[in-house]
Amino acid sequence: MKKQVLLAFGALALSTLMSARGATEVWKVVERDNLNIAIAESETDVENFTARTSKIKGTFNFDREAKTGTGTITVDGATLDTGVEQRNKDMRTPAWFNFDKNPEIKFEATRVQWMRDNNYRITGSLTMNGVTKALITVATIKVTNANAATASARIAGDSLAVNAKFPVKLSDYKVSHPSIAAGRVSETIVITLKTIATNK
Amino acid sequence: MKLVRFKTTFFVLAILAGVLLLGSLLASSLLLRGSIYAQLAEKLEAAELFGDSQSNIYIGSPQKFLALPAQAYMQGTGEKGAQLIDNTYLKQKGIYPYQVKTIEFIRNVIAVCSILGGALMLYLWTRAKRLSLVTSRSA
Repeated sequence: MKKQVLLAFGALALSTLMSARGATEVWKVVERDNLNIAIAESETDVENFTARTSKIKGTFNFDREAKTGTGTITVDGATLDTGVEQRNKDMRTPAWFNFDKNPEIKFEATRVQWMRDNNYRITGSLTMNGVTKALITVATIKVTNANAATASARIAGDSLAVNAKFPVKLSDYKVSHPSIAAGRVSETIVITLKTIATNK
Repeated sequence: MKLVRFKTTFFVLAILAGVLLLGSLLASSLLLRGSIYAQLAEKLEAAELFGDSQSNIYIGSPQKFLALPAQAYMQGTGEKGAQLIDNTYLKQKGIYPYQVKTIEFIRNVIAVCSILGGALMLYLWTRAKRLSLVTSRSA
């Protein structure tokens, strides 16, 4: 009898553990230009300019029930387009972001905490220009079960849409240039990131 | 005495500074005519999946732009009621959306430089003129 109770408890514990583990799904970013976008904006008294790209890769481990997870997003900095070819070239040089050498802008989420509705607090790090710094931001994460909207977007399974916006101080990433001191480029740029991942 | 030799030059430069000032004010007012408070945007597939109420993603903050071709404007409004501009159209056509604040900045720099330069030239011209009068009297 004692043995049976122990076995029952063991089975229950194992099934709970398995169901908890099973709830975390792997979501891979759908690498299509019209689904993903990363935008960086510099705002000064002289001029605002934006740099944008759709070259985004990444994977999330997200538990839609527990609303927790981790993830990594990589943006190809070398493809950032400001609308001015010379400025694009300049950004890739060591004088600026050195994207020719370190093209990856990498976001690593080590902790995802649900706040309310689709809002989450993301704790992790941002790597740019070879420098990694801690990053805490608020993002919206929306899971949509496969339906007409996912089908029309040609997404195979369910979708996980991530939308984040956060400021980045350039000097934190060893980006310093006379144009920043002169006020032609802002010391802090705002990065907006929108990406869609799928579990299939 | 050397100033006297450049009297005409100072006068011409002062006049040129005035012309530059007026020209920059006139050019900027012409350029800024029809400027619009707007925001660049792009259509993003599957906006519904993000929970967005509309299918555009804003490319940067709203601000004042110089007038653009009518085809560049999109339906709807962006943040703070800004008119939407189709960034994809601008890229396809190779149009760079110039900002009002950039034009105003350049105009202000030209204005300040021409006022300061013009004032200096006028000052030097009056000194040279006075010196030339003294020289002609003493002669």
